[in-house]
Amino acid sequence: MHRKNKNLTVFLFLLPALALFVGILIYPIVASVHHSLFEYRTFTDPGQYVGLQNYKDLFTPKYDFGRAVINALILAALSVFIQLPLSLGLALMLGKGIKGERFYLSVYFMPVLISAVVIGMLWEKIYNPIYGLITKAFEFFQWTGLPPEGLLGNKKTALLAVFIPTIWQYVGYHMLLMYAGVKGVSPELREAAMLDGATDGQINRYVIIPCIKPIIKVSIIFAITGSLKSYDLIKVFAKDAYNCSYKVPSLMLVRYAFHNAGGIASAIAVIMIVMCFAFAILINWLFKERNIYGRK
Amino acid sequence: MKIKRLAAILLAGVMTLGLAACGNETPASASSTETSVSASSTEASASKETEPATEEKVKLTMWCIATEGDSNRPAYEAAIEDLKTTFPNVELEWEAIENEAYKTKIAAAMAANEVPDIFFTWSCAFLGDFVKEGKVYCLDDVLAKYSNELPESMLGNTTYDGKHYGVPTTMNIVALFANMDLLAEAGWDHVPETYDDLIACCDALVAKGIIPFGCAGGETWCVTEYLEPVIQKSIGSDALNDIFLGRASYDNPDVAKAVDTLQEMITKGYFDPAATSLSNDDVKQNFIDGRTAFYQNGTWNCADFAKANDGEFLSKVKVTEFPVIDSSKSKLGQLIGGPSDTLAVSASSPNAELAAQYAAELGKAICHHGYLLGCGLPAWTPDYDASDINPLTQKVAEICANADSYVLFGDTAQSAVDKDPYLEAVAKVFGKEIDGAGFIEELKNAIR
Amino acid sequence: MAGNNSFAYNSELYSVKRTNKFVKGLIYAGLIIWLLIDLFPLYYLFTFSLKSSAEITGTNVIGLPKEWMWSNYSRVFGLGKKVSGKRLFFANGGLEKCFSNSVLVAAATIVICLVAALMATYAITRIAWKGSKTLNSIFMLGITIPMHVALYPIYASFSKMGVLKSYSALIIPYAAFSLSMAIMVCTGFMNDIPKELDESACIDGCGLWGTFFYIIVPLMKPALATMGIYIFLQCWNEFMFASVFADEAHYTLPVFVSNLKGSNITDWGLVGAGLLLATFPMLIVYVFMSRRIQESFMVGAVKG
Repeated sequence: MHRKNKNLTVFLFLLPALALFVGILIYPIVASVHHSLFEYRTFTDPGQYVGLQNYKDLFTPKYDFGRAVINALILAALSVFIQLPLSLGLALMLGKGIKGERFYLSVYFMPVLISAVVIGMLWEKIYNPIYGLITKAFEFFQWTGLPPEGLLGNKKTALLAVFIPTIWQYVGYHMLLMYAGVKGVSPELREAAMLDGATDGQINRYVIIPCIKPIIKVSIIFAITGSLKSYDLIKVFAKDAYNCSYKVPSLMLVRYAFHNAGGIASAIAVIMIVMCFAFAILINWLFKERNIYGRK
Repeated sequence: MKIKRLAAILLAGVMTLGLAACGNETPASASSTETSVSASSTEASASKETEPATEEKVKLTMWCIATEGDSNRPAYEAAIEDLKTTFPNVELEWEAIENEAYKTKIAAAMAANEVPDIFFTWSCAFLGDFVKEGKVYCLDDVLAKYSNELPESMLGNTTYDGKHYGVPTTMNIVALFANMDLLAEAGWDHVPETYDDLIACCDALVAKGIIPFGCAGGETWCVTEYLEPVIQKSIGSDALNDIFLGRASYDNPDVAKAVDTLQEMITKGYFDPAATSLSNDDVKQNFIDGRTAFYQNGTWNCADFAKANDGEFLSKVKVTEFPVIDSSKSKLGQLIGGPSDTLAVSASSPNAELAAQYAAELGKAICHHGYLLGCGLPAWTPDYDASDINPLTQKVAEICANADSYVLFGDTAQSAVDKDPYLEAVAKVFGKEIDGAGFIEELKNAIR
Repeated sequence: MAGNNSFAYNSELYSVKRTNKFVKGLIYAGLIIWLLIDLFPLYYLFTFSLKSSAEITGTNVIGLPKEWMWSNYSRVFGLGKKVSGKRLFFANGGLEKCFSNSVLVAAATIVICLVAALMATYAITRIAWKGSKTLNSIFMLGITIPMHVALYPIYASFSKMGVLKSYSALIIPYAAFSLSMAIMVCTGFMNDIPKELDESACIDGCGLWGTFFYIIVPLMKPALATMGIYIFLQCWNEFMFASVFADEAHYTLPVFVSNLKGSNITDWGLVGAGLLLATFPMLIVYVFMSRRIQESFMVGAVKG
């Protein structure tokens, strides 16, 4: 085949994907970078060129973007260290083959399908300081120490209270990914280990988990980037509250984009993208290193 | 935050609203509209003029926030139905979208010149931004013939550089609702009329173990419904209005003192701590259920309270205005609120003139139906029997009839750029993160 | 069998644990508790949809409805644009219209995204050319881009192109934002197809296009279901683009549900019924297809 011809064919194969990708993903990023260097007090008028001033402003007390970034990182850490181990645990238990495996699997995945509005409202009711389940439980057991404004209203507990449902909703998603991995481990491997006298714990640790490492990597990337851009559920909790103690970058992005601070919003967008990229690359790199030195 | 609805008054009363007006104000010549007789004839003549000679149907488009779940929906549907006879040549294609999503949608549409012929907007700063960009059609010519029904005082919030850009529909104010059963338990058989009485009443309630106020900390606009009347009744309408419109700085010790007044009430336990993270719907239900004695919020709640518990609640509830705190600077009749819900016409509309005529009639019809349904007070002088309206709305109409001046809700009056720092500071005040001094310090820096 | 000794040793040490009934009981208890936690939202949603606003916001939050408000449902079905006071079937803004819009948008998104992803993956993994690795990495970074970033720039360009207020205004961004994920899953599957097949096809005189259509596409069928589900999950509940880019004739279910909220006063019973009606079709499909869905997920994840 002629080289020229081949290049053309490659291009044609890539054309639909490239058109979508460049038009809908790359172009807005370029636009965001450009906009972030201007004032954009109104949508049509770029206003003054301000250089990196928007980025500097973000970290002043007026915007307090640092807080939002830290919150997002906390959420990401909770995802990786609580959500994923929980998913992995469930996946391993189910993957071993127990009665009603399918049923459990189906139910565990269900919260992923339910809209954030329902999940958010439900958890608000659970946290409600007057009649919520948690308040009632404290009353029932005569525990003390629950703040009168409830877990969501108290500044010290609000962050955690909001992140718990966020994390809970997607446990089933990661579980399904990992369960698929566990089931994909060839039965011979498992049997061989069993014949050799390995316990369940050992099989999981030395056979299954190394085998599903690539899936765990994907899960970690999804969990972290998902945390950095999480919006829907947190918005349900934040309602119209300004200065809420659990603000995250996406919440600020949307607020400023639509309140005549286009430059600031674009700067937030650029920082979010950079963070997501950085984490994706970092995790890929971490797993690569391990594969080279850790296994064989 | 929800921009609250407007407020209104009516009753063909003479009101000199010296204050309303965004941007450069118009001289608010109180057009005395005592006689509303000519209303129906004006309507008729308006419709005749607008009928073009051709039979061709003109398609107009409209966006609004009267979604299926909104209390204004029936008023919009009825009004649009009414106008089919007035404008047989117009085919209106309208759609509604939820409040928050609407703000995003209209902002995007404005930037891309995709705005429909007629669009819903909030008055003052929200509409003002679009007017500044030259995106809004001037309604001076069209509104001129309605001067008998639409007092100039109702147009102040949509007047920029002396030109009219909006058709107000209904209006609302902030009012103090009281549960008289709970007040009676604390030994009060009437709503406190002075600030000292209010404090005494709250103390009595607290002593009885009743929480005086409920305020939804989860929605910062609800906090402003408490803070703004306190500031207004401390420093006076003029001073507050100057601050909101950027003619004066927040750097005013009286403002700090007013903020401290509210915070003292919070510290004394007058506010329900459980409401810190709740939504307004929850807090309102708490008031109906008798958890709190007072609820201060917009008068759009009147119809709801009248219906609550199959009408049983209506006998318990009374509505009034927040008492005067500093009588040397303020007085009764100084109210937070005014006409905010507005219809405007896009400057890029191919049928702008027809759209303007249609919008004027539609605004009037929505006002009519909305008032009768208890959604708010009419910005247009009523020429119909309104005696069936629920007693709460009627009482509010009375308060408004005696109004001295209005200051529009702070989140509507202030420009989009200033609104965010303002609401953030208000939220901090409620969370006791800053006091009055911190409030003015933060805002004098954030808002030029 | 050299390592036999050490394993035998371990086996003795841990053999007690293996048969421990207590641990097994704990595992089941854990599974069942998690099960209840996940089922609770369904119960809540169901009872929520049958209560009055007052019960939902205060008097009876978690319990069964005191008064079963089936009228919430009839009211949800009655919503939609009325013509002279009459609600026509398939009226704009009505439940059935928004539902069919949602289905249509999701279906078209899936088809477009699948085609683009299949073709691109083929070019990246089966044809040798310089830069294919780099391009793949760039596509992968797409997974991390937040959708909100694109709202304004895309709106402006769509407005210029006149695609706003149409199904394409939603389908194109949804397809683009699902693309990276689809390519990732697709790559995993395609790597599993032996290269020898391509080569023999080549010898038989199939060009690149021929190989793609006659060899690759038929073999990729199992992958399509997995990718389809990924894409579906991305676009079914999307609200922001749906509310801003579409007009009333193209509103999807999330917009329908959000429109049940009033600006100052909300009838929560109505919202509950709307949410349930919006959620249940998907859950029913899920219940009937869960095996298929999970299987394709499994293959997808293992390969991906």
